[in-house]
Amino acid sequence: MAVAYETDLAKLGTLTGYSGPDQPDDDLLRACVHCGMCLPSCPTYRLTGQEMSSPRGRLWLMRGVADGRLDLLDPIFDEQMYQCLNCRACEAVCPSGVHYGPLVEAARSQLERHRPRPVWQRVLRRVALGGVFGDQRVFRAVVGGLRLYQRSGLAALVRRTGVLKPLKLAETERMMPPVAARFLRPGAERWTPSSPARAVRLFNGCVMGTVFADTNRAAGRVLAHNGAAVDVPVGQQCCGALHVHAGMMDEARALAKTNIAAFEAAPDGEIAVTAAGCGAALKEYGFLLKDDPAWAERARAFADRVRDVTELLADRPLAVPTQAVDRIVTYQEPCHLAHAQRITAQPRAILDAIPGLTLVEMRESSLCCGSAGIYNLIRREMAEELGDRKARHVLETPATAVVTANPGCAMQLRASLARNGSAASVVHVVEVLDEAYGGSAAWPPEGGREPGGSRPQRP
Amino acid sequence: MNTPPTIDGLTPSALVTPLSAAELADTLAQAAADGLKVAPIGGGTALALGNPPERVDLALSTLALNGVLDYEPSDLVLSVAAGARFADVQALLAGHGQTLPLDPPGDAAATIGGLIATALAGPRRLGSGTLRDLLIGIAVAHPAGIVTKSGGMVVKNVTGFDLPRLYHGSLGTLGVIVSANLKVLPRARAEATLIARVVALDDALAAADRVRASRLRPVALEAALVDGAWFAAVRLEGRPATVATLAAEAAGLLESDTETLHGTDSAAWWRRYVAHQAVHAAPDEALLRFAVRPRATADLVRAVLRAVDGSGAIPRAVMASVGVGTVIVRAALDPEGAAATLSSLTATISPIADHVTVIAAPPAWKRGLDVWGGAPQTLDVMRALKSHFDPERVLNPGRFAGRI
Amino acid sequence: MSRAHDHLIERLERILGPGGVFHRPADLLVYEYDGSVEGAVDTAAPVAVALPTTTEQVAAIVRLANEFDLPVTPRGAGTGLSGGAVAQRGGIVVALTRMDRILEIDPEDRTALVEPGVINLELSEATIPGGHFFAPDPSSQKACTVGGNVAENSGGPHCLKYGVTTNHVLGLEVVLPDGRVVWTGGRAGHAPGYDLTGALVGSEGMLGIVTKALVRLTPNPEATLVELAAFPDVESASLAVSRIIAAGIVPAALELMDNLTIQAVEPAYHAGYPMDAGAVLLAELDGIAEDVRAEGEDVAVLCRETGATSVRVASEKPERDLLWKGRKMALAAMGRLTPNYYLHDTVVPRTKLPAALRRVAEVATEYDLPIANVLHAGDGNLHPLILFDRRQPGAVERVLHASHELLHSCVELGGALSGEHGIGTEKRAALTLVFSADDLAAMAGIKNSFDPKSCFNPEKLFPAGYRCGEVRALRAQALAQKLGIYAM
Ligand SMILES: Cc1cc2nc3c(=O)[nH]c(=O)nc-3n(C[C@H](O)[C@H](O)[C@H](O)COP(=O)(O)OP(=O)(O)OC[C@H]3O[C@@H](n4cnc5c(N)ncnc54)[C@H](O)[C@@H]3O)c2cc1C
Ligand code: SF4
Ligand code: SF4
Repeated sequence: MAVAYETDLAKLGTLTGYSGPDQPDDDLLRACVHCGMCLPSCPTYRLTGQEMSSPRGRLWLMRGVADGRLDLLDPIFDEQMYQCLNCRACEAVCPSGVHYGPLVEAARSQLERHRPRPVWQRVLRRVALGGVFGDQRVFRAVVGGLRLYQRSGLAALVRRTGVLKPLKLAETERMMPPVAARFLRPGAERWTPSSPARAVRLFNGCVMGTVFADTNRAAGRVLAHNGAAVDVPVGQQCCGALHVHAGMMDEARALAKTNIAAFEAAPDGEIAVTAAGCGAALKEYGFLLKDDPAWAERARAFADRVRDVTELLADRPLAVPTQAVDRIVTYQEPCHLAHAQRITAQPRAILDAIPGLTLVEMRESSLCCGSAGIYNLIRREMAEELGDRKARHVLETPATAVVTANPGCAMQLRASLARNGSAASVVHVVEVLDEAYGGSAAWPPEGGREPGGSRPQRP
Repeated sequence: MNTPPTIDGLTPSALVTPLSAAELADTLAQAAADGLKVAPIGGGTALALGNPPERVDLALSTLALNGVLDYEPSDLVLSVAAGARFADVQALLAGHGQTLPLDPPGDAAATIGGLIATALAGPRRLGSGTLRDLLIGIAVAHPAGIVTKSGGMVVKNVTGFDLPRLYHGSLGTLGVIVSANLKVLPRARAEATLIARVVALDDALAAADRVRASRLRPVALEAALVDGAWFAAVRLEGRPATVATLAAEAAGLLESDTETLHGTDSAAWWRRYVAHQAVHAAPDEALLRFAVRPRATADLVRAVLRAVDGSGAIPRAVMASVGVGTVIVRAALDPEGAAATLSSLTATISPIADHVTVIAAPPAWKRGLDVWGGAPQTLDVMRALKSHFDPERVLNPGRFAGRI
Repeated sequence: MSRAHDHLIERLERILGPGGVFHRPADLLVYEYDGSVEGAVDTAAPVAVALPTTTEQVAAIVRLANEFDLPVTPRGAGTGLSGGAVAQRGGIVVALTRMDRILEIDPEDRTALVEPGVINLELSEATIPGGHFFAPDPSSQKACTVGGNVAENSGGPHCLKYGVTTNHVLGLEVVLPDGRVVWTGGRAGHAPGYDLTGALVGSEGMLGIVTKALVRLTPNPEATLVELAAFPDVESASLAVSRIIAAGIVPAALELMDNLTIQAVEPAYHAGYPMDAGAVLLAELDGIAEDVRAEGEDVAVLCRETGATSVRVASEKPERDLLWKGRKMALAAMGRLTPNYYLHDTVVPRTKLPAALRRVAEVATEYDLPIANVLHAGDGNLHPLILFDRRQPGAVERVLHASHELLHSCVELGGALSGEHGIGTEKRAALTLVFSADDLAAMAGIKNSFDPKSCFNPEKLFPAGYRCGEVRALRAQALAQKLGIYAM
């Protein structure tokens, strides 16, 4: 199960304490008084019942390294820093206000910096995170290939023959929802009500802008329904969340700067995000760039503009939905919405406002579904266990659809539900609201027009 | 009182009444040194409880330790010497609108120390719990000649091991309780009792079950046969208006010829009822207690009745606490072969009841059996406890469970 | 690592499988603490951690520990605040977190049978739909385990009316220090013999390892009402507490918070506590609807009479929850104000609360430490919360001195050392403040009877260096004392 265990431990060597940039902040670390109140919220602790897989345990390990009582390269340290889903459920419940996220990210960054990883691992990471997610064009091309694969009948064939099984890719394949027929390209589409009350800039995101492009379009429509002129500023890139989670801070900072510049070019209005994971990362740009004098202030200003789309909608009275959506749904809280952004009431308020819709709560709705960025790809066993637990909770309810607000969750939920024999569909909050407003028919897209403003500066 | 009382046919050679806790401890130490066996005695209302002692040389009365040591009504706590009579304590508390919400048998004469040692509880146990729940501190004299205390005068306390609960129900075998601190409660402003006369046991049980399933939270709920008649009885407490409303609801649930008593009449009725549970037995009768999980109460009563009938005994009183799982039976036995009948009766019910206790019976009948119905699984731990506190087995030897 | 150690691990793994045993240094590191304050309780790592899933495994571990002559320390969630779950003498930590099944809920008997690792709140969450709840509700209820509650005899806000853990435990399956599995108590009352269940509850893991608990469930109340009264100062709020109690009302909970607490809570959680109030009193009434309504009115009148400037009443759940939120999040709010806090736990007779609170204020001034007060006022249970920053030189020492002072003054007022959190190692030295050598000998008698080799959770409760003598030995000592010679 453990990645680190598989590597040859003997070759790891030893290293005392943290060094270089991006060290876990000592004051933040010592804010943990090991009261244990976070334990039951932590998915990995719930599954294992073991202290090292708990937030408190991980913080103590980080402290152990800081104090020189534990070697930075100790395999257990590595294992625990990466077994963590970085779902930040612990952060949301901590009475002492421990900022867990930045701490584990810094610890990972230390590992990335100081730990000799096998070459194949480094190459894979570079390609996956640096190459694919680092550049929107590459990403679109990759997802385009996937779409082709889904459409061509190849998918059905592959599934039947089971060739993916030995490659352990079957689950990955099953997670993939049908890719949107048309990607959403920045600058290409916009939604404008007849008398706009304000401007909203949509953050497109890698997965949202491609696989889930139609969800982003739904977001555009519902925002427009609520009086906002919505566009998708050009020049934006991946938010860098995955890089931060993986401790690849330099790559993350480069992406952040690109995005800040892109949105500075569209200076008015809030930045709406449809992916909770991206939203949480964007809101933390201030922290990410705090030590960079040229960017710290700009990053803070950017972060202040960022809103989750549900947050933005619930901000003011919602335009009354007209169409009944006769459906029983349950709501899965994305970790990065509920815990990292503390947004729990707004999505529910939106669902409550939809005529005909019944929201039934499942057990542990705020427990991680096991997606957690790319966790489900690297920690399959634990991710699957969490997914199964989630699916069981869904199956206990009469819901025919699971509403969520994050692409990673959506994919993980799809796979888990299917694996556990549930026919429930998975939808984004804005998609349900969009349906209640009449859907795409009620608001035909205005394609092709370039948004106003000059092209953003490259950093 | 100078003549020592008889315990299961044995008469101690002397009765000693120490005037202070320290004196009592000294007496115990002296007895231990002289190899004497001691039976502590309070109000003498429950001397019949337990196996016949192996030997008794000295009866040790706590009656001279009878003062209220500390009472702060606004703290709702009371510290009282062990020999204080339950009834006197209740009268004192009543003057301040407070009470110990208990209705143990032996009401008038029983002492606080005796009630703690015997852990006897009446029907109120359903709604108010037992003395175990009210004990917050205790002082005990041991044969080592010392007095030890535990707990305190506060209602919530986890300072050290919880000895008060260990002494509760220990029948004076670990030490002699010399004083106790108790949590007291405000007295209910009003009470009412409904007695539904029915023809048969099943009707009484069904009526009681309806009450249990309702929103009513009776402090006592009994299905009983007393003086030849079956009835269900419900005791309610609270504010006057609420009690009136609830009594009307209860009357509806009981669905039969129901008598309603209020205030002192209600209290008096329960005193008479509990008197049937008093720990003594006429020369021709035995008092038995059976306990099961609450849901099995009905099955237990039926089984007990069948067994009693089958043995040729005549039930004088059958009192089932519905919701508690306790059934108390007073039955007359043919003195001819009574010991054997009693043994077979308890043996018949043992598979159904978790615990069968012969609370009181003529000494001759008790000799052949263990009134506690067998030794507990943890007897060795209990023996170890006994040997720490009373290594020479000075106190009540042989009377307690496992003949400790 | 020595041969013996390897052998021990191998044997443990034979019992538990490789996934159930931890022994590498990094693994042991995270089992060296519990929830208690660093400085007040020393950390200590075990030589191995075992995570059993069955009673038989627990018994086998204990037998193995006997064989290797190692101490055993049971552990639940490790939220304890007196150091109870820290393996002070190393040995094996038996963490019961994987034994977390609710085995049976019986609405008719009003009982639940649970494994020790079940989380307190999750038990209530499972039983509430069926009409019942588990009454003990420590503030840590989201995290702490039933086994830990049993071991600490935990309390909580609602213990005022419903009593503490011991009032809700009917029976226990325990593994004794010799490895035997026994049951004490049970579903039926009147079990013969000593009340070992009573002795085990609150025994801080020193007498037996609880592997199953049969607990009492309490019917959900028909109606619930929460009132929030704001007072100009803590004195008037305390007076209101006394008057409510004197009026013969037993609220389900009666909680008091001082101004420092309000200042922290209100801006963070917007529970509606008046910022300028010197204290707020939170009263919850529950029971039969008619009684609750009437008592609610009485409580409001009594609060106004004693000086309350406002009284808010909430009967619906969302409003009630909001009023409670301030109380429930008090620690969180304070915790975010300062880097460190020391949550204290002492108890005094109810009428001594004003005096105790005055003393707390004096100690705060004396030691130049902000101390906030959140208390279970109805029980006389104080939770002074000392706020500090351990990075300041000498801060920890000052806090420890202040704590000691607080303990002393509560004892002087006729109180006890701990209302809920236990003695553990945190307060073991202070035990002689309230108990004589004889009193301790009686407790030692219990320890010896269950655990003659002192294998379970050593170095707890009894003052350091205290030898568990037998009562028998005390006779000589009592005599010596009479002669003016102090032995022991
Ligand atoms: C923020 C916070 C608030 C708190 N509020 C309260 C409160 O309001 N009221 C209160 O009473 N306490 C409170 N506590 C203290 C603590 O939560 C309780 O003592 C709780 O019962 C401990 O449970 P645990 O599972 O964490 O036990 P642990 O801390 O793991 O262990 C506690 C003790 O129990 C023993 N133990 C654990 N499991 C078993 C078992 N199965 N068998 C035998 N022994 C066992 C251990 O050896 C140890 O001595 C609070 C703690 C925190 C951190
Ligand atoms: S809740 Fe916060 S302070 Fe407590 S253990 Fe977890 S991270 Fe540490
Ligand atoms: S971020 Fe999630 S997985 Fe990681 S320690 Fe916190 S709660 Fe556990």
